[in-house]
Amino acid sequence: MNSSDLIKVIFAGITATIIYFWEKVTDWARESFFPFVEKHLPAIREHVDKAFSWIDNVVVSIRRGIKAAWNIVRQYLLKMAMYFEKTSSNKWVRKTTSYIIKTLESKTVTKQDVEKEINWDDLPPDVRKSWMKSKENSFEIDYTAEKDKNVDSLEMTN
Amino acid sequence: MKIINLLGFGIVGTIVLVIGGLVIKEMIDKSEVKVKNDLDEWVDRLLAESLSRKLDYSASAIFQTLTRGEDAELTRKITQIIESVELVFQRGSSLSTIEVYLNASFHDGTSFSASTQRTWDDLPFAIRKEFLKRNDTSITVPWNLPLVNTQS
Repeated sequence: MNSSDLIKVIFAGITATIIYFWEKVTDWARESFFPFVEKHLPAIREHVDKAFSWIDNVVVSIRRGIKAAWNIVRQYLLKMAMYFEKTSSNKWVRKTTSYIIKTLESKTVTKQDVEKEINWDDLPPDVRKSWMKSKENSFEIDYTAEKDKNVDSLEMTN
Repeated sequence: MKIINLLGFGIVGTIVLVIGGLVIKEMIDKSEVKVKNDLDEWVDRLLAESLSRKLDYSASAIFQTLTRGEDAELTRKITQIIESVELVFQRGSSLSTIEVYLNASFHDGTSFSASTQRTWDDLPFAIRKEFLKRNDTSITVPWNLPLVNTQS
């Protein structure tokens, strides 16, 4: 990875973090940043307000878009579970099982299994952490439930 | 050659920026309309239920009139009985969850209130902007019914 790619990755990571924790950013701005600007840079307070409102408008619409998109996917994707099993010292097998309906009116649930051999580096951080803790050789993740939780966090009802 | 490359980058960059800006604006406008419609519907349903107990009409007929204003006779009765409707947006220590209060008062001396919770993302832009601008814990806005506006 060259320095240009690294900068892109860091920038994308920061953007994603800001979008995810936007409500914390607005609280920080209201409690600390705006009073600081008001006290030390009163001349630009109005411009800061406008700029922050503009960013808020963009970020909130992205968050709304993410929620709306996930809600559409969830209408068709009833459940997706991932099963990880250790096969050798550095190799794991990831089995993904999805339960989907092809149309909203459909009463037939289609089950789809996808199996792939992956390296230790490709394991989700949670699985790596759990393995290091317990040394168990198989793990299961309810992917849809995890994502639902993330979207709930975006809705900030926690 | 380098100047042509730079010019090319400049043109492509400008096109990407303009298209990106338009896409973002479209996304903002669409999501804003949905949020406003959701809030409108919440207010209209509650008002319709309350008014159905005062007028000799079903809540669904009043709701239809509040949203579309098709029934002139019912529209007249509604505008005669409603004195004021306001929304109060109240935050806690954080902006993450906002309580929304609907306060309606009628010319017969009665009133009613209702409340719901909204997340920051589900607030209209104007309200979010006011919360960011002012450090107030609540913002009160008059609720102008579309049919009231057309009648006055």
